[in-house]
Amino acid sequence: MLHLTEIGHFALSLAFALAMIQSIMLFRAGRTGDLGAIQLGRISAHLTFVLVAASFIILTIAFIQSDFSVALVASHSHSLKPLLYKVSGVWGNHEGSLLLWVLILTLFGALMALRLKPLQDGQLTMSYALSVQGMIVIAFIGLILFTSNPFERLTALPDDGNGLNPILQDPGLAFHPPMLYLGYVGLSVGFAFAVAALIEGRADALWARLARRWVLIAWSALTAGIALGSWWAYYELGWGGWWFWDPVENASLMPWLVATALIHSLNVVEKRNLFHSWTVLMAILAFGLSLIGTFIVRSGLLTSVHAFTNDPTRGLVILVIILVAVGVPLLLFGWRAGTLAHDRASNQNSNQDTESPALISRETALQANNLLLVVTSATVLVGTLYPLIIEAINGARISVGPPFFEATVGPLLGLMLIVMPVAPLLAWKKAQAKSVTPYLLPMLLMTAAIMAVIIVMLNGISIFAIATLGLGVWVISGVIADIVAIMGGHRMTIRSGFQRLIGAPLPRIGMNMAHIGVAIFTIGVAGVSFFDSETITRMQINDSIESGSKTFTLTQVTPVQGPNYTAIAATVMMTDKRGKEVALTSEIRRFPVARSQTTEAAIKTGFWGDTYVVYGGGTSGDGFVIRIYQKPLITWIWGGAGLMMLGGLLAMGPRRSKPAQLTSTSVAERHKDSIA
Amino acid sequence: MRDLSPKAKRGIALLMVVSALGLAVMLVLTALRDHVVFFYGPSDIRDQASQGQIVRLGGLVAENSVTTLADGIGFTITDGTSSMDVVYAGVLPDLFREGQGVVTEGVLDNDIFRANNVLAKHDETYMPAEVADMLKDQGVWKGQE
Repeated sequence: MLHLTEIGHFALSLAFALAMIQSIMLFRAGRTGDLGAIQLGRISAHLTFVLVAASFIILTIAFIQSDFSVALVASHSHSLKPLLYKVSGVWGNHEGSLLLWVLILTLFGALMALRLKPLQDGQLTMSYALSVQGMIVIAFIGLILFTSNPFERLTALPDDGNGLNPILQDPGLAFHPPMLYLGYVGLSVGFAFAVAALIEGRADALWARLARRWVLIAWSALTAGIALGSWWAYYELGWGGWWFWDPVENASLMPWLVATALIHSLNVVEKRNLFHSWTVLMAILAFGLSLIGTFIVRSGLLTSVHAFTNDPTRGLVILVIILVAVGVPLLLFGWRAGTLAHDRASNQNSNQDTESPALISRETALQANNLLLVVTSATVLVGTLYPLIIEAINGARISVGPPFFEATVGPLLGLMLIVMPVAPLLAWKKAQAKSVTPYLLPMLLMTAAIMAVIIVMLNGISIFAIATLGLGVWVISGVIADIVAIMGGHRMTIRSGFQRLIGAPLPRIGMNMAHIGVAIFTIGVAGVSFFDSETITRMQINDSIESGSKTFTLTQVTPVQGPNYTAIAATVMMTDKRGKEVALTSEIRRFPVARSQTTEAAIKTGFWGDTYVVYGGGTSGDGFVIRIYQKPLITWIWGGAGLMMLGGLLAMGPRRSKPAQLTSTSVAERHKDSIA
Repeated sequence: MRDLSPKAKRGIALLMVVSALGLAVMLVLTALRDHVVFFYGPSDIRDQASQGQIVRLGGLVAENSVTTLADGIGFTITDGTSSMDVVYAGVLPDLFREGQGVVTEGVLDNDIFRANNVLAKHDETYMPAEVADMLKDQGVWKGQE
């Protein structure tokens, strides 16, 4: 009888073939505008998604039913696992996570196909982009089929599975990889547009308008994915940190920084028809770094908690894919970059008729921030790969830890935060002093006044704390200034101001929301980095200890039985100055199947900070080890990231007026153009 | 401000790129000089690490070596031939176990390694890469290649 997983494998093979049709047909459509080819390509993109989704669902069913005849299920699942973790177990391993990656890739392909409407502005660009997207699908389904088949069967059935690493059995981690993948894979669309621009030989305002929303949604998802991962590490790993500069974290930060630069430079292409080559380069690098982010860390080259696989064949194939995916577009870029400024609306080289911006202009400010973001990303790359390079050179084993990244990334992003709130105040082309100073002066005064109050109130805080907090406040002052500007500046009345604010274009509201998010994030980082405290102590039952103006009393330590673990739970009663009591229970869980243990921290979350209590084992003879951390403003970190994500999503909204350079040209004219 | 010639603007753009890169290179070089942490095994740490310098020490946790001391937890890190006593004032991570690989970070204090961090970024099937390499060098590697 045909086993379900064989259908899954077959569906995946069929998707492989369809992606080829999609890629070839749409390439042809891009060259000729052939409507039949466009239709065929679109249908293939939809079917590819449906087939990959089917094979993903089949794999999920195998996990839910604990079908141990499937090798992957046997080695990564267990019949006693709760349902949620049976499902999340699908992507808690190399093969399954690769299938999830391809599922999201084809989902984006199907969505692009929906947006590809024949006989519409930009259909040739879209065709090329979807063709490139198809090539990426081919590469990754190929990788699955030839090196990492998730449907491989076992002839000898095991009694039960090996289980999923208990530390991964957590709701935060169930959703973190899909969200992160949505971001990583979403950047493939920006990449596809960049390659399409290189094939077509132009990256103009229309191109930027087509690509904008895809990049924004990918960026938002990446922001959320990174924040979820950080939040998970914070409450699950049990030592109260939120960012460890682990290679995997760095690998997600690098594409995020470049994608942030990309969003801003796309804006310049769309509004001003400048920065074409730079923007295309950013799109290529952002996806290139995403690939490195997902796969290099898996290769076992770097010491990381996330390493899934040490299979050299897979590593090699992945390396080849990355080299091709980044190398070929970069070669194309070197060859074609000069043609990108070609503007399809005016049909001539736009550099000749666009006057270049003055030194003090929004263009220059965005250029500066783009540079700083990219340089920061490069710095993170150097720090991440440096141990590998040194070991290759002289065999010394070194590690580059948080102090390195704090000393390099900190100042660079600090500089960027100085420029950030100024950029929106500057006019395109050339900023006039008389329109900027009425905003800049109050911003400076506001920041200085608030910082003066903070310095007096928190007597003796360090210069770094002052600088970090000050940057956060400075960015907020910039957002306030821009909102005042939206409401009409000095001519505003309350009524007209609110009307303007409500009628403001969503991208501008989104920008301000994301910038506020950056400010709140920065303030949160300052709080956790400069004002945290840690108390480690051995306690007997009913012992008390003071920490952060609160009293902590150990009330009981008892065994607890969970669904697939046994635990020792320690309860600490936290009493604040007003006598309010909160019970905090931290557990050490032992998982018999995986023969390992995890620590569950007890966290009391508050607006001004968290109290984080961890039970560290012990006996009534020696005393029980209790760690108490005060983490001021830590929730501001996730809150800030959440606002950034929302801002990115809002920015996907329509611009009120179409950019001036965009005039619609008929498809026939554009055909002529593309053939010429 | 008067408009600058295109050539001057190009020059200024170049200056921005060069200064951003220059700043980054400077920061990276300074940070690499000050903040790189060297990794040693129990056999070479005494000769190669200077007292009080922050380094990493990795190896296997010797069987039956974990004890509770007045100033923290004591255990021994070994590579099969040499060993080093470690004192750690914190709480051991979940994945710490006797007979398994471990990486600690801290300073050498005479003949005791005072750890301020025990890294447990590995699970029972995954050995820290540095420790695995070191054990291979020492010829006591038992895992699969």
